Amino acid sequence: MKLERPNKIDRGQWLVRLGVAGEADAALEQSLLSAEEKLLKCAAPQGIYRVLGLDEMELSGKAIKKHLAGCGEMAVMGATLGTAIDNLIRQSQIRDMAAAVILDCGASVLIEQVCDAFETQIREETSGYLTGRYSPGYGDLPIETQDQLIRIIDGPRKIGLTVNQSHIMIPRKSVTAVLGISDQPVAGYLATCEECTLRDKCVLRKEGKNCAGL
Amino acid sequence: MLDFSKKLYLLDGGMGTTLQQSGLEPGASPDLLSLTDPDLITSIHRNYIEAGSDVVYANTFGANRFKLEGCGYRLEEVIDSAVKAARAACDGQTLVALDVGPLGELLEPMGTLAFEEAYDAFAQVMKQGEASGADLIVIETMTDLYEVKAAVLAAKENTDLPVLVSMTFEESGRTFTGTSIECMAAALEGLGVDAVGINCSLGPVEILPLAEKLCSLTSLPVFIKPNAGLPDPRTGAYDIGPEEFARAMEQYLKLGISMAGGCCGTTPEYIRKMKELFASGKSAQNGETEKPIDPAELTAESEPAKLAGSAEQSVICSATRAVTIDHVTVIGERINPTGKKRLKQALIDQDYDYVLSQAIEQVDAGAQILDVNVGVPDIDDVKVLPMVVKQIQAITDLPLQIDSSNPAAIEAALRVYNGKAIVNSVNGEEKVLETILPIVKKYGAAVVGLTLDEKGIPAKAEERFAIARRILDKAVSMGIPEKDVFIDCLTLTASAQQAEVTETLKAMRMVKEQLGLHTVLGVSNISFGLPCRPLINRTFLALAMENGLDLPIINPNDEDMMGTIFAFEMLHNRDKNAEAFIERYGDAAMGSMSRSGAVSQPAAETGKEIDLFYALEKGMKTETIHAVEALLEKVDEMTVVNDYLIPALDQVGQGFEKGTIFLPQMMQAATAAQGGFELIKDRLAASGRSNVSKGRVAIATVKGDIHDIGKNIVKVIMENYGFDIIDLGRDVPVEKVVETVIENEIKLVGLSALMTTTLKSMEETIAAVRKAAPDCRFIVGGAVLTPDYAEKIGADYYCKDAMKSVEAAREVFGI
Repeated sequence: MKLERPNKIDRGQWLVRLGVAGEADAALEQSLLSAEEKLLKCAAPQGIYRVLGLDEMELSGKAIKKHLAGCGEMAVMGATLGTAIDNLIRQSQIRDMAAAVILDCGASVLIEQVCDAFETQIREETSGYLTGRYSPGYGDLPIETQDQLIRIIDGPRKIGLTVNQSHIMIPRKSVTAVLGISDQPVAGYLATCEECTLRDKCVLRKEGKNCAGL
Repeated sequence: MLDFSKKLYLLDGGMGTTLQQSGLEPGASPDLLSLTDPDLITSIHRNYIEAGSDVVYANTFGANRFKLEGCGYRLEEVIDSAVKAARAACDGQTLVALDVGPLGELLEPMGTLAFEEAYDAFAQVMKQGEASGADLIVIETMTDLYEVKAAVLAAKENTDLPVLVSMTFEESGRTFTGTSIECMAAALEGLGVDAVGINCSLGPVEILPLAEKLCSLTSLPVFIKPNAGLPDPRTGAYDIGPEEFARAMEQYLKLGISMAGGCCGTTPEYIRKMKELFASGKSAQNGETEKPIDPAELTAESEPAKLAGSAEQSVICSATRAVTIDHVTVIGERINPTGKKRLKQALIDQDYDYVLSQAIEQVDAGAQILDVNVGVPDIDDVKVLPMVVKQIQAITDLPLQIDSSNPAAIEAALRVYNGKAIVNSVNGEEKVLETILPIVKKYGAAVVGLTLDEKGIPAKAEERFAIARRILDKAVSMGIPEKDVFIDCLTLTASAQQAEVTETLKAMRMVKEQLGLHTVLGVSNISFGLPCRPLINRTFLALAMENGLDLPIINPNDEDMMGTIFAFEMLHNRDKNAEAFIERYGDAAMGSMSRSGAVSQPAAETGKEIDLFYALEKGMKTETIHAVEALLEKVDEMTVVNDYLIPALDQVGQGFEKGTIFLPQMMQAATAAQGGFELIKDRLAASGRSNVSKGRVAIATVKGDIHDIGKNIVKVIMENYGFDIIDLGRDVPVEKVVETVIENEIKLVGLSALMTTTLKSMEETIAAVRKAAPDCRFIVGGAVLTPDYAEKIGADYYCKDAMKSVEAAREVFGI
């Protein structure tokens, strides 16, 4: 299903991903504008979701079980910006690496925006209360779950979303996620550092922080 | 077996969706049911046959080694049981198709699956399909032309069965991967498939305009299998019933399609309704549906677009861009090392980024097709040409012209080319025609025929014309369509053979007028040995175009030449309302020839000296290049590098460390510096001196990982510091790193990994290289790495960013 293309890319998020503190200077702003135009032209957002009972799909890991606690159903969603964005970034790495970095970060922000809007749509179309999005690779939900989710939503046929043998999604700027559905208000559950597969390698954790911003 | 001239064939409807209705779990593989419940599969086929299907697709859509991995059954037995389950439902008339769907993984360069690997996977399927007794092969629901090519070659090279291909399109007329109907038609007609079609994604109403287009673009039989309308996003239920579906399908008869059926959501009832409706208006004999439309009987009103003749136009394409030769079409000549020292050096050094930058430059300048020639002595073109073709088609959608005289290299390149290419070239020599034309035919390319033979280039136009005719006759006798034969009447230099310049023009006009073929010509040789070459070149180009030149092979960066073409197209009223001309030259100053929005003024004109440090820090590439140019007048290349460029970069790097300069600015500075380095490398190559290398480093994103942007940042920065980088790319096998280290006596390897799952590959790579080359050192980086973990897996340096990599490399090489 075709999703709406946002008409701009969130500057704040974009600068954070680029590691820029504060505002963009005039030159960077010019680069962002030019990258934004290209990204919005190339993006062809597509999304698909399916609602299924918790018993219809086994998900491994403790954290996802906690996330879905109290839920009877779940929505499995997939969204992608399409292959043209990948082609754009690939080409720009030959043309101008500086522009490529800007495009790559911009596309990452853009897919998150697309997912936020899609999630809103799913909430509107679903009766009951939904948790937030929970994606493979987060906490102890293994990255291999990607294959399972993409099969369930028939990703290749429905939105052109595939996964390779290393469980990486292609097109690259894509997201899959699980949202719990309950008839009671649910908050979902964010994995703790102890549950996280990244716990020994996490840079944030070394700095005494965590990715939930807590 | 299939006779499209006599009969409109009814295909079957949905299999997967029908199985889901009988209780198949979503996400589960329908293919295994052929083994576990063959009677169910047979009964579905039987229902379709009873409803009127002449052809049923066996339950093999997902039967390939990737999708069935770990299923517990052998692929061969899954296919065999599926074909047999279909056969069990058939009477004598019904045909069983081996149904071949996508592998489920995207091919390179979008994905990670190699073309050759895809071919192998398909070959396994095709062989078993034929062995199990399928009557034909249908490759369907495809979105990637490259995957289709792998499947078609696998089918044709391993079986004798007819091959039908249908792809699935969005309403925009493109597939998810961007393939257009034009590209599909051109490439598949070339590959010699038996029919082309459209299936899935959309309903019959939405597909109709796409089908109309396809019918107008191909001379092949066309088949259509739409979904039962569009799915409800929540329930997945389709919105068109059998009656409405059949009525919508009736519209397709006017287009002259050869086969019709249904895809997702359709059932035997849909086929039955189609059969009834198709038969009702027309005479039915022996229960067969007569093909209802004979083009000769069509009224003007319902005349299919097919008769408009656009299938007769010459089309060259990549997977996503089709170029119709109905205007002067520029072939960019820059990727040809003849007379280009820097390119020659780059090919010898395997510096493919330089080759790619030449491609991009020509794309930006307005080339429409790129010539690709890697002819350097000592280079194995059978290996290098296909590799360069793969790399170029990963970064541009322009169609390519494969330029070689080595049949093996041509074949290797055509095989991996994604689209319909041009082969440059054959000539009138019988031996050349006999060896190269069959390759051109097999891969469905167009071909350039040079009007020379074993006796050389004839002086007279008539003799060159005679060779052109010989080439054409031979090509046509081998099944290559006339529209795909282009003739090069050969430019001779005016300084040496002045009298024969007009013979070239005359021969070209004869070829154009008497044979109706498109013509190709390398233009700039005309002025060799004369002063003021640009003037002669553009004048000759104008003459040549007026005499019928369609495909000039030129340097598109030469605005004189491009401008002549734009003016020519406008004056001939092909560039309507001078739109293209004004777009390109609307802002050009009076009397000058600069493009609209072209690069900034050179330093000399701004009247002030540019400080290299300032230009570089601000990321001003043009200004940096001018500053380097100015310095090179005073000092030598190495001084510019060591006393100016690197200190300037260091200053930027320190700003980055301190947090006053951020990644985008640092990268812009690096890109600007790259411009300066390019200039220096050009000068060194031109004077035959060695390069500026401070040490050689191999870098790679490890096996299983394809996140390469970080690695590429490191590459650019390190190159700027004068390190010579061998970039092994992404998803690099351990053995390849080991091999490279040994072969090139590498002292430092950089590895990148972005996933927890691929850190293992990093560890394995380090261990394997250490074993083979104990002195080799390692720098590692990537988001999931920490200094402790880097140490644990045996790396020497953990680099949190590109500047740290430079520091580490300086230490290793003692700089």
